[in-house]
Amino acid sequence: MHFLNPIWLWGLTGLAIPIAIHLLSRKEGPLIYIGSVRHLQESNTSQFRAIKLNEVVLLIIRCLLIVLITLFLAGLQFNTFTQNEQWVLLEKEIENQPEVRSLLDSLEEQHFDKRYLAAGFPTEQDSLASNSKANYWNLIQELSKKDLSNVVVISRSHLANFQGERSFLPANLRWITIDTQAGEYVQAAYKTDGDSLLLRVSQTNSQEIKMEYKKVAASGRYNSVSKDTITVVISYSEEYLGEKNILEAALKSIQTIPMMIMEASVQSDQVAIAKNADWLIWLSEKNPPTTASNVIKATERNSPSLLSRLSSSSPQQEWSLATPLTVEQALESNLVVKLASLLLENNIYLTNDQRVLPEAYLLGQQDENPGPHHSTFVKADHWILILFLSLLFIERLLAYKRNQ
Amino acid sequence: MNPQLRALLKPEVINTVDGLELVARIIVEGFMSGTNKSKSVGIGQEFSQYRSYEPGDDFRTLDWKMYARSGRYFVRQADIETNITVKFMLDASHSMTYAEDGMSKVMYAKVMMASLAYLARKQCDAFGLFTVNEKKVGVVYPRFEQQQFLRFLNELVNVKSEGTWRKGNGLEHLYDHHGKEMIVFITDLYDQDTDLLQFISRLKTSRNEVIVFHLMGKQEIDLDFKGAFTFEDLETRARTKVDTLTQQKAYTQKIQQWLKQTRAWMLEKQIHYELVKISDPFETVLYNFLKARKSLAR
Repeated sequence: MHFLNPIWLWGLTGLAIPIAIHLLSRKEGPLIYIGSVRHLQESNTSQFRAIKLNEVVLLIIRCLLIVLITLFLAGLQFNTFTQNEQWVLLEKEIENQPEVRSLLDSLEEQHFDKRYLAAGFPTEQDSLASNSKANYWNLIQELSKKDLSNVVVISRSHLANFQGERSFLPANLRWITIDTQAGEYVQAAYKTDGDSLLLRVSQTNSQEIKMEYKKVAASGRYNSVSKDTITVVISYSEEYLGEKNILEAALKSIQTIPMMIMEASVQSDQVAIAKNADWLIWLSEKNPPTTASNVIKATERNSPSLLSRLSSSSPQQEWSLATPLTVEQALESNLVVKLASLLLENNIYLTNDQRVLPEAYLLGQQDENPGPHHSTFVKADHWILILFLSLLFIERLLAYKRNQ
Repeated sequence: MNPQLRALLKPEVINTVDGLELVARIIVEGFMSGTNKSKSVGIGQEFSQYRSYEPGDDFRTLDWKMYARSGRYFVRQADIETNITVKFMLDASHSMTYAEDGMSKVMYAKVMMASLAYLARKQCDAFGLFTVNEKKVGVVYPRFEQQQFLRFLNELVNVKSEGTWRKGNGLEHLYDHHGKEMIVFITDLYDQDTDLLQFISRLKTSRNEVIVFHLMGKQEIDLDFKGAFTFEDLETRARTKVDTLTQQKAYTQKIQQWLKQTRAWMLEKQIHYELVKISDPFETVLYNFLKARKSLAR
């Protein structure tokens, strides 16, 4: 049973009306005023009892009429008992956790189908059951299109899995978030001079991820990686001497970041550019030479931001640096940080991100529009109306008989 | 009852002086049309006829001028003028509001009284009105004047039937008898501790005539309802649940016995008693009134 407008159920308080009338006037027949009752006798005959019974039946019918009207207004719907599929979806990685195990067992007793939370919702037998990263928002959308009566999702709800446009949780879906262990993961190990290793360690829990560097003695535990070398060339003309100095200083400070190995060379714009340079910083009025490297080009200040990306069809990035540049401006707008994030962009990646999508994002967005799953309810309007009319007919008949 | 008259018998007509007078006139004129003058002759102002002297006649009635003219004894006769006083008394208790078919007892009584008063005025009788209930005793003392009829109707129109019959004192001036008088009492005889009967018996003297019109409804007599009803007493507000089908027989017997007893009691006291159903035509009432008056005039 299900109501479309449960607020109408307050109409059931209307039941008080016929009951009150019945209690207040139960003892009276139709009233006749007469000069004197001295010649009349109080009678308590079978007909009076019949009338009382008649009144009780009438009362019940009238109460039923009110209940029916209320149910009609409240929009009573019945669950049809066509058993739709019920799914429990989970991530393969957490399948063997004991709490997930017990939850799964109890759900499978209730005839839930076990599937994996991945594109296509593969079953255990499916060869598709891969570890491929899926966007959960998309999966939720797909789920809401399917005609399922109940879906339970058990997931770690990693933030990394929720990308792109947010979609709404359908009403028949329950999302259970399993706590993930906070942990420390070594992201990368770099060999530094001598026998020591530089470890890039991420400490992560459901709320945050924290990066730090540790220096340890070299041992076989870590596969050390030699760092990539980034070559940056600053090519300048005399007018941009000030800018050259600022950028050179910036690059030098970037070079102090432990995992970066950067070769920065400064040269005049007359000199030919080394072809293998990753980045070219072009501080000149002339057009930069076409190279395979990414370019940061000095332009007249016309954009509000210091560094802005130019649209470019080539695979290389093209950025413009607003000039003239002063030290104050460079400090104010964090030139060093921006430059560093630009240069290091491709070199930082995360594994084992344990951050979790806040539960409010899922719970606060219950689907308001009735989706296709509402088709499993059948409106009871017809039956209520038919019942109502027939009861009304009987009520009128009885009332007429009572009053003769 | 005449349907044209029936159409006039509505509260909005009867509760105005003009309407009540109109209704009374229609009733009385219709009733009196074609009647002759009084047949009785005797001593009076207006000459009627001469008759030969017979031994035993009063010498005062001998017409000596006629004897001088003809040498024979003649007795002079004139129409008897009977100046009597008619006192109308109305039981204005609340039980008189009992109504059947839109006609209540008090309405019927008002029309009756207006008609009888109209008739009395026609016959040059003095008439007065006394309406009695618990709250008010309305009095129009008997007079013979032109305005008396209007005064009478005005008082009648303003009668409200409420409360019960007046208990105890306050009715002494109603018993004040002098001269030839006729008392018309209209009531439903629903009394408490026979106070109405005591009142009636005090009204009756050897010199006057008392006529009691007992108003009853048809259903009141027959209990002609079908089914179970709650009856409420108009005066005491007492309620009784009654299944009329089973009680009808016992009730009608009881009522008939009551009416019989009342009639016998009245007869014993030499009081004219007339049972009037409020569906009856008014002519019967007028006829009974005139019959009672005639016996007084003799």
